[in-house]
Amino acid sequence: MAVIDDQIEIQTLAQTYAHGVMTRDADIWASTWASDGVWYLGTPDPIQGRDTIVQVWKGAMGGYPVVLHIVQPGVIDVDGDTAVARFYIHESIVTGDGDQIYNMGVYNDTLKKEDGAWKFASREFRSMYRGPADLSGSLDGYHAYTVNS
Amino acid sequence: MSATDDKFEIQTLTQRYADAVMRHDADDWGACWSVNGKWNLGPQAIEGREAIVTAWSGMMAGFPFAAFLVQPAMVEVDGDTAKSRTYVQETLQQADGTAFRVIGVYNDDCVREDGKWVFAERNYTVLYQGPVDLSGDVIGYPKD
Repeated sequence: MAVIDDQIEIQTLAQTYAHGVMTRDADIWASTWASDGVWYLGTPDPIQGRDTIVQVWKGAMGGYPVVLHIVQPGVIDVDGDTAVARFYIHESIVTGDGDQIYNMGVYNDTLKKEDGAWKFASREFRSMYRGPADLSGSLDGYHAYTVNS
Repeated sequence: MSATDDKFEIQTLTQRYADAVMRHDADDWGACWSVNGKWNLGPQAIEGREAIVTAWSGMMAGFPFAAFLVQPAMVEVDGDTAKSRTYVQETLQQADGTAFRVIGVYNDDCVREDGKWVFAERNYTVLYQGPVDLSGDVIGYPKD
């Protein structure tokens, strides 16, 4: 398979992830993760394993009546059966209190093939902004860091 | 390389450009340009990669925060040259802490140089510039 085919599949994976969020469909969303995937959300301990990740995601989504997740096509580098990628996302969220917030950041990802299909082996989210939709909150900007692997 | 591959590589070029803006990385950003690139941002075009990178570095120094989102719209490949159009949404924070938004369209000429697609010419048209709540003046799409 040509490298560009892999890149397109990985781009589609990020879009499927977004579709899972948009439709709040746990099966679609879970299908983008490797079974031993790791989700880094800035908490001291990463969330490990697809089953646990999906439980955490369901809990988080339960607290937000609305989550609109828009993802950019991203920058993807493929190396055989593994790849690294960066995807910028912006989310419009309504909280349980009815507040509208805007969330912008970047996912630094590692990917691998599982049963012939690309899956997220790890996703590490770094926020660039989270706050009021009018951007009156603190704009953090991009923070360089090393992808966990 | 097939035409589809070329289209994808050019789409990726616009993403790498955005990624470099996000990371304030002048080397990666400069690598998106042809040595003889031309950047039309306003009345006076900036010519040559070196001058373009210098101008960009100066602009970026004025923005502690810059988020640059790119929506692919069109790519037409003709051999070793191509035309591309992307829509961009910029969220920029000024030194005084206030944020503003620019929405615009890039009409580009791309060229394959040393086997790699780069920008030969980028033409930026601003469609909106003002507060992030879009309360400013909407300029709209140019007639021509």
